[in-house]
Amino acid sequence: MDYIDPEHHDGTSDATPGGEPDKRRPGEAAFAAALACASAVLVWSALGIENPFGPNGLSSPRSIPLATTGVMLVSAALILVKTLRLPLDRAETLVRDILPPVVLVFALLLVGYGIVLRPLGFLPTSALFLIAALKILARRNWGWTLAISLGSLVAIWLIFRIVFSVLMPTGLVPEAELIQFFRNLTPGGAS
Amino acid sequence: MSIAMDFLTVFLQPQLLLLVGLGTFSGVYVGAIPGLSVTMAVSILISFTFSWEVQPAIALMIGIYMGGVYGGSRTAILLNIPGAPSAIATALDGYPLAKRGEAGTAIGVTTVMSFIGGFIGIGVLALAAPLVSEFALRFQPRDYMLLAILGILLVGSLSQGSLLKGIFTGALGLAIGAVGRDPLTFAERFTFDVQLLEGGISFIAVMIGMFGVSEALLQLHHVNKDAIRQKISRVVPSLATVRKHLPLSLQTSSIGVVIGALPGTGSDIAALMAYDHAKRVTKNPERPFGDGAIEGLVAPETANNAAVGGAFIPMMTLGIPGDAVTAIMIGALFIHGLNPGPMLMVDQPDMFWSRCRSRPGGQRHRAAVHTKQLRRQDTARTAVAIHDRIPRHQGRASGVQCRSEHDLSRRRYRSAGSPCATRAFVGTEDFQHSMGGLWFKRVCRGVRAAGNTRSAAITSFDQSSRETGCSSRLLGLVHARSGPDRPAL
Repeated sequence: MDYIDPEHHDGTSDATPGGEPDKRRPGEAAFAAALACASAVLVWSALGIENPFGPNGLSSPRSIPLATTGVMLVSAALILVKTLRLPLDRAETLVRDILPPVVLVFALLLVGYGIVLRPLGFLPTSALFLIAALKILARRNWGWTLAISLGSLVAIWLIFRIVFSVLMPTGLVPEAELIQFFRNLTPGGAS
Repeated sequence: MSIAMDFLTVFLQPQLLLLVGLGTFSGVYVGAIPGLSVTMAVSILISFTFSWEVQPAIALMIGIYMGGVYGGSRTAILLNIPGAPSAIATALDGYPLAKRGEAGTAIGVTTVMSFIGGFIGIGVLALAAPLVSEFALRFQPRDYMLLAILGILLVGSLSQGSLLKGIFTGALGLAIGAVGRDPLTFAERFTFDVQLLEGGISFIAVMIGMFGVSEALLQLHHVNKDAIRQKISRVVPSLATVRKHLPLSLQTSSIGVVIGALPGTGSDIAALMAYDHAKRVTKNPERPFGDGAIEGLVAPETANNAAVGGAFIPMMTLGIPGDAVTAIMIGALFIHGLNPGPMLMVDQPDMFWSRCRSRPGGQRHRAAVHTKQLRRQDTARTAVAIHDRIPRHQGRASGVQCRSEHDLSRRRYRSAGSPCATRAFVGTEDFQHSMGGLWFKRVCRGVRAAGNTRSAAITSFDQSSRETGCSSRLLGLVHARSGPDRPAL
């Protein structure tokens, strides 16, 4: 059974929120505060939504956004207060149990993936991401890493792009020309 | 008798059975891949079936639809990443079971319950389609609003541990749904002057982010741990297990059928409501909900598959799509020269039963009797029902664009509606004599409204398949095939 013993703080914590409901985990208060701040920003943004029905218009484009962000703000504030009242779990640390370096690295890798996906394109960005991910996690030789990452990327590309015609950012790769080149190789493909 | 023979002929064609199997097999794979939706798969595969006969084409599409709804549960159980929105509730208890090494049991229960749910959905479609669609059409805008509020209130039941956190995440989901331009006034909401956000945030992107990325980051905590060996010795659940959960599966199937029959809803809402129902009615589950309760698998899986049959009910009887996939299928039927709606069961009864045949064990005898009754009375009555209610459904199903499309197509269809309306009246002789000219006018107007519905369906289909890039080709064919008694879209 995959049971996480909360007493064994050896980096095997699953970081599931509420792992120990009667204690505050490291970073939990800061996260709750961040959520409350983000909710306040969203409430402010909702207040700025244009209301074509006048200030007293009951039904307007900002009614639902104001209501939902208001609920977010109130519930986030209550969560923050409840979290602050809990005693801190001193057996856990943020770096070891909640946000270990590997998680941080992958979070940054995902953010980087999102940033460079459009300029570089799906194929090069995904190839770089998969190679880096496999090298960091599996720590095996380059041949194995390249074979698995590029092989799986080609399989995914074939399924999404060729079979299901899902358009993905092409970026630097002349994808359309490549596909047409292969079509030209088949009889009747150029038509 | 001839209808029964039609049904039997269709049922016994091995080519069609093979296509249903092939479609189901493909649908399971498509449904299991997060990011590939059944809607996308069906809309793409339609283009391959343009030159086919209509029955093989429909058999393939229905197979994909049923398989796709079921296939979403695979990754939900094994990876905690639902392959489709309808499998979100399945992940709540399926994944904890897999973590315990009982993925085989979870998959087995899911498979059997999906079969039961699908069977019941198709059974209701065969036996009580007009009744259910009549009930569905009674839903007013306020009822839809209450249904939406009920869905939001399910947060209280689905959030495990902390209700406050559940409320926060529920409100966050609504806020994410509000991102983009308001559909009525085009006011910008939460776009922060980013042009990309003006079109809103895709549901699939949110689902993959919330379930897929978070699960991947959580798994990074266990990189150095040994993988759990899954018990695959027994996948098929015991008869006692099935019998024990049969009452719950019947209850949640009925939830699935009704929710599926409501235009604008779908199997995802049905699954969540069924999960909530199971939590409330199961007094002593073997394991707590959220920790691997079998009831937490039974309820959503029966409901989401039953919702497939339910979604076909308004499509087959009224020409109103129950969800995005049936909207595409209406487009497909239209392309193949059929007129989905109240006249389909009269003009093309073999088509109706070929759908029922797509799941084993259609109710043959009663089906034939039922269609005869329908011929006499329900056609006209249903057409009137459409007329009374259609504009509201169009607004709900397809938004502002459809409303403008509705007005446009109504004007166009008016000139071409009479032949269709006359045909609608053929076969309703008893009704004609008893109700007279007043009803005739109403039927005419109803069938015109049915034409508008098809326009709305095609528009909805266009919207849903726009991402795939094949909509222009399909709509081009619709244009080309618009005959004298069909509305030019």
